[in-house]
Amino acid sequence: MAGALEGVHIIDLSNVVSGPMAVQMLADQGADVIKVEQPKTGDISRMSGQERGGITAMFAVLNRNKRSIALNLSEAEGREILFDLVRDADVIVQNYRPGTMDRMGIGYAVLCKINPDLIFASISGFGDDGPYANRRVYDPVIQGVTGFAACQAAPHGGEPELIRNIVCDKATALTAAQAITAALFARERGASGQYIEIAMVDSGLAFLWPDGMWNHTLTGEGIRPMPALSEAYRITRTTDGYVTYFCVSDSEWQGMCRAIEKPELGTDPRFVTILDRIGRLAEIGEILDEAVSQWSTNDICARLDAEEVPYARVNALDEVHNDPQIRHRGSITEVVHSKAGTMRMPKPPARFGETPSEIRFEAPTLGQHTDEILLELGRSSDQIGNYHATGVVD
Amino acid sequence: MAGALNGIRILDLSNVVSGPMAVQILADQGADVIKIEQPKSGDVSRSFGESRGGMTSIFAVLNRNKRSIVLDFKNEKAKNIFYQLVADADVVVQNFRPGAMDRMGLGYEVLKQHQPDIIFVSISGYGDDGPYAERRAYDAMVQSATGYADLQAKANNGVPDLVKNIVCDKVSALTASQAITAALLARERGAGGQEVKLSMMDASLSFLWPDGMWNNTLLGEGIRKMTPILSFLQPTKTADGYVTCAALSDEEWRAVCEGIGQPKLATNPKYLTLSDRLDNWCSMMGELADACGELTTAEMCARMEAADAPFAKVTAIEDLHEDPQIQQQNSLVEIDHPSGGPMRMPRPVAQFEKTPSAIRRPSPMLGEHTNNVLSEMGLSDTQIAELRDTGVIE
Repeated sequence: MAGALEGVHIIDLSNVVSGPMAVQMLADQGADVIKVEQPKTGDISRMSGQERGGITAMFAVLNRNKRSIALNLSEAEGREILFDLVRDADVIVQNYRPGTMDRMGIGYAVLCKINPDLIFASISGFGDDGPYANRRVYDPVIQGVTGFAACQAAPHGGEPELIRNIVCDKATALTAAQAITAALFARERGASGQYIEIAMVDSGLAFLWPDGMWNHTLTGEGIRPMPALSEAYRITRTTDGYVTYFCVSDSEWQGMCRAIEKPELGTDPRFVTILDRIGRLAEIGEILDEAVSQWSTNDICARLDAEEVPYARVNALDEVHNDPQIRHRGSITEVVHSKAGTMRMPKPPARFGETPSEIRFEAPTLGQHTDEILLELGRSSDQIGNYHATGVVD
Repeated sequence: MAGALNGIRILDLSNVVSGPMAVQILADQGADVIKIEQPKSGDVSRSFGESRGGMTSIFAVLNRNKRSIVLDFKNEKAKNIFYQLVADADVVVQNFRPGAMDRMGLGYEVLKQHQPDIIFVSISGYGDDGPYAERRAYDAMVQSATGYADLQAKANNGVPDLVKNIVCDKVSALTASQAITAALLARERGAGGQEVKLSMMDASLSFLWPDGMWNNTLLGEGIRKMTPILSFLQPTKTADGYVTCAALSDEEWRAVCEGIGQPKLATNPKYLTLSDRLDNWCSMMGELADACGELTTAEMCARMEAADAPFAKVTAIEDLHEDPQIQQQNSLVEIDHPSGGPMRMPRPVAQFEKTPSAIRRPSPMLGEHTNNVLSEMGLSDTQIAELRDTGVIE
């Protein structure tokens, strides 16, 4: 069976994470992806992160199931090749700074004349205009602007902190992948091609908002207040590690009290209802931390499990693949890259009953498929030789 | 112009965040969504978070553009109403614990008898089977199992910490919304209906992996190691606040050095190339902190802006809506909810040129559209009154 996006042709001009990750999801679902990279260096993520045999870990994860052509778009002949690719494509994805594609002569206005059904997805940091539009953007920049760093502060006046993964880049990637798929669907039902603009600042805000901003959504008077999520979120030290737990309902709370051998707390009038407990989060946190810290991680986990309290052991990064549930589900797979060797990465997370996603082939080396793609476009071996000689391709 | 998913009908049986947020994105894009809730309490998110007039802020954000009906599935008549709704629907989304829908007689095998083309989407915490399958899964648990908490460990003492927003729930939502759209596209192209399953655990692993696990991807020997990502993602203190800053390319690094008034740093051999900077990231951040500590945030920002360096002020969450770029982009909208009053939330993220998304209706009160939907199904007022009297609907 073929993947859900089988038969869709995507040109990926994007770099680093937001664009490449969006396209990787679609590639996993069967889309045919040609990654267009600049000669010599290619995607900047080819240089960042753990590496072996010229392939970095991050590049390998985000660019599997893609073919690479190294194309010099500052040369007219390079742009001609791109135009030929666009003629047969359904989607083009780019994440240059606003206006860059236009200045290079490959903006939407030009490409949609070549292919009116083209879906042109444009990912930017701050949108196409406005005071920050031309700023250089990386994830920490967006985390700073959109409230992630402020939300990560400890409750009651702690210093801001960053989330230590590039959450805004990746939320943008997921948002873009869905938007591109929606535009493909609309086109299938009769809409034409179109331009889609996705700003990291908007993706970050939309992602953070439901819970992160729940005390800053209602404006004006008459509001029933609520503590910030950060007040309820805690990790607790055991004698040999860390666990987390989260008891919301009355039955979960009473189970927790039994698990720590303090059943009397379950009927303590200070903590009877959810609202009572929400009003005393810090106090409860201290009591529970103190009690939990008497047990080893294994022991407290068994007790919490027996009482059906929502809990989890805190896995260190190098323990994640060994977690019994992750092993059981086969969530993580080991693949062998011909250059970089053995590596571990998650399988596509959505499991389709009829249109399975899969990791079909490995992340390419820079320009690995240049000649193959040019031959598909009908270029002769002589022409291809010329392109190489004049630096149009690599 | 209609949204990209105009004409699609979705039955949303899901609760809290992972399911409702996935469906909200599709509702923003024009899908007709009927949210089916249990009597009395409805969606759990109706009862937590800041509220006014019986409407919580989190529910208001995640359930806009949906209609609400209340069905009591303990009653066979309610199931029949649901089957009738399924016969006219394209998608069913649910996030009960594994097996719960089957036990209620509402599983995929049953529903596809009523609508063979139905796309049946199940979002679970840990997947359908395995040692944790039956566990209650909240976001904090999934963060702990999948490495988020370890990655968030404090730089100075290594104690794990949680990301203080429900990142795993929301990542699952975005992953699900894309998967649903992909299944709709595949069905439009002839694949038929299907079951799509995803777990929060798998979605979270896929999200964390590219950068968070970049030192845990390549296995075996001969690997060039990489600075852990936590040392990249730290805010820098100024005289009166915080900024975040990141520079990968040489050009960006030169811009940062100029911005902090230390142009000589750019030629320091410790930081000359990207790989030098990656190897010496911690001391580089130290240089940055030393230079920033003397200046106010406003001064830092002005200098960084002039130098074209990637940077941002860390905005306090109560000030987000006043950020000039967020204002200029209209990233946030203010609406007046008939029960909840004035509120602020992000607009739909992806800006489609031809198929615009829109906030068309406010989040419903519990059962607000029960009569309306049942009338549409052809039930008479008398029939509806009878169903209400017998507690089948509310």
